[in-house]
Amino acid sequence: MENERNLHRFDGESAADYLLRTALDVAAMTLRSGGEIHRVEETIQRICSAFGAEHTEVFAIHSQIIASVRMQDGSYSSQVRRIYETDNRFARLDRINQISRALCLGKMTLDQAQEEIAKVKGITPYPLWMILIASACGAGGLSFLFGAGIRDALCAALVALLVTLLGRLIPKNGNVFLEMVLRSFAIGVLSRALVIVGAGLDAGKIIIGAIMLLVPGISFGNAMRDLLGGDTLSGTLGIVRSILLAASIAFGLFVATAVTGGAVL
Amino acid sequence: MIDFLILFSAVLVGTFGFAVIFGTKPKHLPAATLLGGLTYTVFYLVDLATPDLFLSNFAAAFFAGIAAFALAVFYRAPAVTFSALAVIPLVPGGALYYMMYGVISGDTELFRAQSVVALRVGLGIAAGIVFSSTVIGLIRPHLHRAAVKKATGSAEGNKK
Repeated sequence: MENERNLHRFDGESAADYLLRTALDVAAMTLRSGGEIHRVEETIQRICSAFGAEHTEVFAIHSQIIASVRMQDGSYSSQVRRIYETDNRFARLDRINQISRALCLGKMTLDQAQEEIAKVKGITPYPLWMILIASACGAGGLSFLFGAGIRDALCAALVALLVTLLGRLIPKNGNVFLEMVLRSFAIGVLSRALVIVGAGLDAGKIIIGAIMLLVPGISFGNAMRDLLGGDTLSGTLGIVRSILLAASIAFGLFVATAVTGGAVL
Repeated sequence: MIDFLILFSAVLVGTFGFAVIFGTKPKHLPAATLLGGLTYTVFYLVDLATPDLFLSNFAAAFFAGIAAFALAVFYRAPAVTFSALAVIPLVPGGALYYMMYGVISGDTELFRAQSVVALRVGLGIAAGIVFSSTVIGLIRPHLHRAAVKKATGSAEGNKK
């Protein structure tokens, strides 16, 4: 078998352990890059089957993957992977999907997959300046849907650009809720300041446009989809997380209102 | 009409921005951006015909799911990289925010009204995507069989 000459296999690691570790590496990267729960579970099932597993069991939620595999010779492996951070990184998701497909079609060995997975982490298709412009486009464009005029839309774009830059400069402390409070506070203060200096007309419209970058709308939609699709636990956790994130954003804006002394709504 | 064209252009700009933020492959950017605009068009038209938040979001999300599947097949990429961006103009971001603002500021009426909006829109989008996945699940085997038949047919044709 091709996967007998493993360059990446640890000393004493069985074939079942190595296969499941690689499948979990692919699945974990899929989840971290914005893949759906059913895709994560299918990925492990298919890779293990393609490499001769007789039986595979997988359970995944957004923060954890648990999987076990039994090979035809009776050897067995069971592993757990904790996922601390998930985000939408679609170029990475696309590449990891190609790796998964190549493994399932027998066009890639487990060793080659390990090398390719390590490279996926380095995929960042756009430089910082383009992300900043994109943030401005995202906030400015969508603020029109909430009734903003051209002046408020431009202000929302400017606020989004500044807050994205601020987010890159502030070192991450691991607490996403605190980060949301700080960012939304900055959005509230900056939006109000732009109205005070006469650049913007309606602070509420500027804020709604700029916070589109923060609101967990997509995670909320995904959670609802998981719920309706039968992944009840994953869906419930996603909804709770979305509500807490929205509460953090509202809290940051509430403090901004108190500091600036004006209604931001 | 002019109002719609302004909104359509704004959605294109917004979806493009989010596509870059989400690290979409440069090759997929034009299609993903256009799909955002078309999804919003479906929402706009259904909303004109029947101003019901659930129905208009359901129809737009259903369209987004089917179109994202077609793009996924064409580009051999995961469908979620297109569908997640396509529904960006529909997400109840504003309602979710106002809902929590109502809780924190003690405005019960705001919380109640916006919770209903967020839930109806969220359920509409989710139901549209799930329903499109079900339809795709039903037609996928037929598409696969047709592709195999075509490949086999052309192979036999080559032999002749």
